[in-house]
Amino acid sequence: MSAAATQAPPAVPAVQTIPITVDFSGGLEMLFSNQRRHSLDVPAADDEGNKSNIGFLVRHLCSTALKDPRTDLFVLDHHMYVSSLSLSLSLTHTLSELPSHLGSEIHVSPLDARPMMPRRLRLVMLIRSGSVSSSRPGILVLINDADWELEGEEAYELQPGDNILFVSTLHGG
Amino acid sequence: MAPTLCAMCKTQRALIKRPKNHAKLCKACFITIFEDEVHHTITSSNLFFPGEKVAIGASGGKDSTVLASVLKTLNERHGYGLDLVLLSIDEGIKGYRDDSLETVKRNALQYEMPLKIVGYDELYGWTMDQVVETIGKKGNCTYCGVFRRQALDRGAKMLGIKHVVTGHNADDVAETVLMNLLRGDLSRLSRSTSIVTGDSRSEVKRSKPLKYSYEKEIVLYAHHKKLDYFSTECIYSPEAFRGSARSLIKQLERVRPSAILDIVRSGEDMSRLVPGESSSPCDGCKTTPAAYAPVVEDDVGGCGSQNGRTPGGEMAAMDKQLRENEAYEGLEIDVASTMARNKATQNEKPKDLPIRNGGSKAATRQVLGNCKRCGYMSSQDICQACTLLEGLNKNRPQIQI
Repeated sequence: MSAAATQAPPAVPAVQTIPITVDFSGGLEMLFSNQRRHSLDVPAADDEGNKSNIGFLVRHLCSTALKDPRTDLFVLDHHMYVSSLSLSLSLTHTLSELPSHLGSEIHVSPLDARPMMPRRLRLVMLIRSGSVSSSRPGILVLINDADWELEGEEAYELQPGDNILFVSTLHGG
Repeated sequence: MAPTLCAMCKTQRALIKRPKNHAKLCKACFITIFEDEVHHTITSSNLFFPGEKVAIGASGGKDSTVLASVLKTLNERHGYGLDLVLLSIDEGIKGYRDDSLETVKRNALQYEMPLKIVGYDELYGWTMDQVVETIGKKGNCTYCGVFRRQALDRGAKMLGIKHVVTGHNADDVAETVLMNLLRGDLSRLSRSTSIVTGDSRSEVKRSKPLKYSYEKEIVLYAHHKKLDYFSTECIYSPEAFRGSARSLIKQLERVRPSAILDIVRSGEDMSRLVPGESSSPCDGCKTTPAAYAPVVEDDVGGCGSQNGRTPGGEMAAMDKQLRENEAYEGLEIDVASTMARNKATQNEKPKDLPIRNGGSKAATRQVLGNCKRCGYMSSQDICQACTLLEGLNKNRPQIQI
């Protein structure tokens, strides 16, 4: 939590933003300050200048709105990510750029971290970044009430006024 | 991306992609087909009879809320003539169950159904909060599970109801199949796949009308029908083992969405091969046993939703063939003799079965009697709940005595 709060977003002046609403339900709201609806202005493009898509939004939410340490309830399998990360780290010598606490590792968006990484690690993180930008299995994503599978999943590019709903199927019965 | 049109009505924008056959449907068509399929499960397995009083085990969660909503809709649409009641168990967990019970109370008003709440405290003299205070968080799920199983039956009896329906969905059943497979408990695997369970001793039968409904579709149904449900994890530790089986299922679903129903069907097929476990879950049932046998038989092919549409089609065909071979004994001999023919030298395989039959608990069919203490059905002299209670009562802090 503290890592996300203190970490200033990459300073890009006068960024264009897209106004959207993001809803959390099925128990996910408790990870996001117990608030169901979030009205957000997300950057129109990611750090590499690509148009913001759902994958970017998931990473963006992880680093800005996710207030709960249980990030693995939102993004894909924490363990898989962390273990591949540690594996790659053991091959390199640059631990210092990464937060040491495992729980906050997930906050480091691969895109933020990539420039300072050694080549090998960058490679692994690129491979893993596909997973990190995806919500975990068991979470449904609806884009304007439509299943994200019909809209191109992570690759769907955000439009002004979009409503993105993340709903967990994992809780209660 | 141009909007895709609904595969059924061809006019509305498709909003849902069905996990089991990838059909792209609009909201209205999805709701219709979801309800139709549950109706099909109900009619093809003769789940209810006209005028039957049925208690819906309601937790306030998505599954039981969808079940209540769908049953109310179908009961009215198809004239089942059912008398539906909501039955909730209050485990006595503050900050969890008290909140979800509020949802159930709202549901009772929304669906105009009477609601009965039975508490662990009144049944057992213990709330789960007190249990956890005494034994700690570790292992408390065992207590809760054992108590809940009886509580639903007892609640139903208080209401004079002999049939409880629960919101177990296809994902739940697949999860249980996997868990029992991993535990090597084929006997329980067999019971867990039956749509109806119950026994002459229990007087209350259980069924799972949503057994073939994907969790994903249940959540989408609740979302698109704007149903009021409660979703928070129990504050006491979740079952770790079930959790692992659950994530496995969810990951499989992502790679191959039909996997969930395929596991359910594999479980059903395996259950027919379990020695000592007949395909009918309730051969001793009070209500004509014959009525139950077709339940399970129909139920496999009867679902129909999968046949020919998925790569599992050939399995369905094989299943049909299997069903024609009446008894499981016949099947066993079949398998054994095929093996013997193929590998004449290898004689161990056919021998394996009898050894397993003798030694493993999986093969022994439980003989049900009644608990000497509470009278509830049990395969032991003292039922599990009474055994657990005995331990608890010994440890009850002095002040409370």
